[in-house]
Amino acid sequence: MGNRVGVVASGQAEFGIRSEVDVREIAAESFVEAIGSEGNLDRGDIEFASVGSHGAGVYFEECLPAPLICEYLGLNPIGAQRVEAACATGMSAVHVIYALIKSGYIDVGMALGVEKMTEVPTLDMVDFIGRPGSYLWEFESFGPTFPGYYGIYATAHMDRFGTTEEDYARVAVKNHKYGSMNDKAFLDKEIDVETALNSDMIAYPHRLYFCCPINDGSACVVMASEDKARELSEDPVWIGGLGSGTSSVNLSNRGSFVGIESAQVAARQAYDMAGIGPEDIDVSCLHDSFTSAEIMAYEDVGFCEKGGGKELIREGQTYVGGDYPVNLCGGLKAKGHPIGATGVSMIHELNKQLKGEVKSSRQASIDNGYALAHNVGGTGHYAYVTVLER
Amino acid sequence: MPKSITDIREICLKYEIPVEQIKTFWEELEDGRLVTSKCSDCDNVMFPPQSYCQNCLSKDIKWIGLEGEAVVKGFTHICVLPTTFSGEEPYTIVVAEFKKHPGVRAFAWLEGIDKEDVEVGMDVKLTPKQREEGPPYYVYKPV
Repeated sequence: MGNRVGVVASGQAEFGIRSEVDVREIAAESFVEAIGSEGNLDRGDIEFASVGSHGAGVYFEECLPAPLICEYLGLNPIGAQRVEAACATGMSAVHVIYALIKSGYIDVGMALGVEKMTEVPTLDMVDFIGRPGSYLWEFESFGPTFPGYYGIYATAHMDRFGTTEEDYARVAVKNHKYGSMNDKAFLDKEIDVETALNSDMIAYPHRLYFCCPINDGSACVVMASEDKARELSEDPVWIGGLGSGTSSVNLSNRGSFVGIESAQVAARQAYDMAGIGPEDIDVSCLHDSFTSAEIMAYEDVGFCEKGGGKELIREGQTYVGGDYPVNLCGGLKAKGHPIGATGVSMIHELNKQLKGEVKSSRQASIDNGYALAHNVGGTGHYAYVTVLER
Repeated sequence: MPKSITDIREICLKYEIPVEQIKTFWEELEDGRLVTSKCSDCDNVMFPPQSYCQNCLSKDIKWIGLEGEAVVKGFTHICVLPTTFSGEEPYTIVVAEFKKHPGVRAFAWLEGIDKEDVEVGMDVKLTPKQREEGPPYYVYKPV
């Protein structure tokens, strides 16, 4: 009897300004797609739901999304919880289900990430997303916004390593290119470097096209113990390694602004558990809430030395055909970043990538059979990394 | 029928934030002085101040003067402002490390400088500042 945990099914709602659906309805889209993707899987197999949402009761109206979604999808009376880990909420939900299965508490569980971010005015959202962080010591007097928090990292990275605004624009070009090939992506138009460099300044050095959009979405992953996974799926993808970390909430308590320590720790844990290294990764989803963050992430997960991230994008190494294809779904930048859904959506994307089931123009070559998902909450306040294997 | 319903149960949130355990910091700031917490057991200096030492968890904390001279580690200019800052002009935020307190840093606005002149590595000084209404705060000024 094997002891692994497998991904048996996954689905994703179309990301975007989804004002025609409420939180339950957009959750149902990813759930129905996931359940329908495996003929042997029935919703009655699911024993526990971990629902990831950052904004419940704050920037959308429903306070208890977990039981609410269970009710809507006819899943009562299974156990459920809501989890929150800022922008890493989705992958924290995945890690919870992994642990519940691994412990023997359940055999089959689901992680469902969901967010409605467009029910309040945009600048109110900017305000809500600027508050985490330390409210008293950062937001109350100094009003940081999220692009601003990452801007502090970006200026430090530019100063230390010579990374440029053009490099940040190049990442936007790549992720828009792949977003244009993904039917579920919010931003589906290709752009060029000039468009990104000439867009409005949001928080220096982050221009509009360097920032992920505010949007709605959901994603769902059903996971199972090894024996159950083989029963439910012809071809499960396995969770090979996980890692997690935190960094200080107050940016002033961090010693470096050129890398995110919690993400470095999480990546190292995930590689060690999987028994592999960065060179074994065929395809990855890295947390590109800002295009500067993607360049830092190349370094933090070990695709290059610290400071070498700019070379990877300049050389095209993170495109299909390069050494480390990154964010072939469009990333947070173009696919969108409905906060609670993002980490689950990364697992969905990599599940499909490892099986060779995405559109050929954005399909990575799967040689070693390993994929990596890197989901960062806040500016590293939380970090979750997952290695998937086939 | 409308495609959406505009919620009518508006709520106004204003937090009463407890600062009793670190009231010395706020009292001194009101009088125009910057202080912070230092652990009596392990000498760890903390900013923001805390009533427990994060290094050894001692609660034996004393207050020391904070020398404001600092070096910028990273910065940003906030150009799209959050709703609750909509009355402000675009502002610059920096994290800078205190020269007299190695490893101790603060997060604050940098005022009195053109945006084009802000750079990593520049010298600044953290300075107490009062509001007409509301708690005192502090900002960096160029040196």
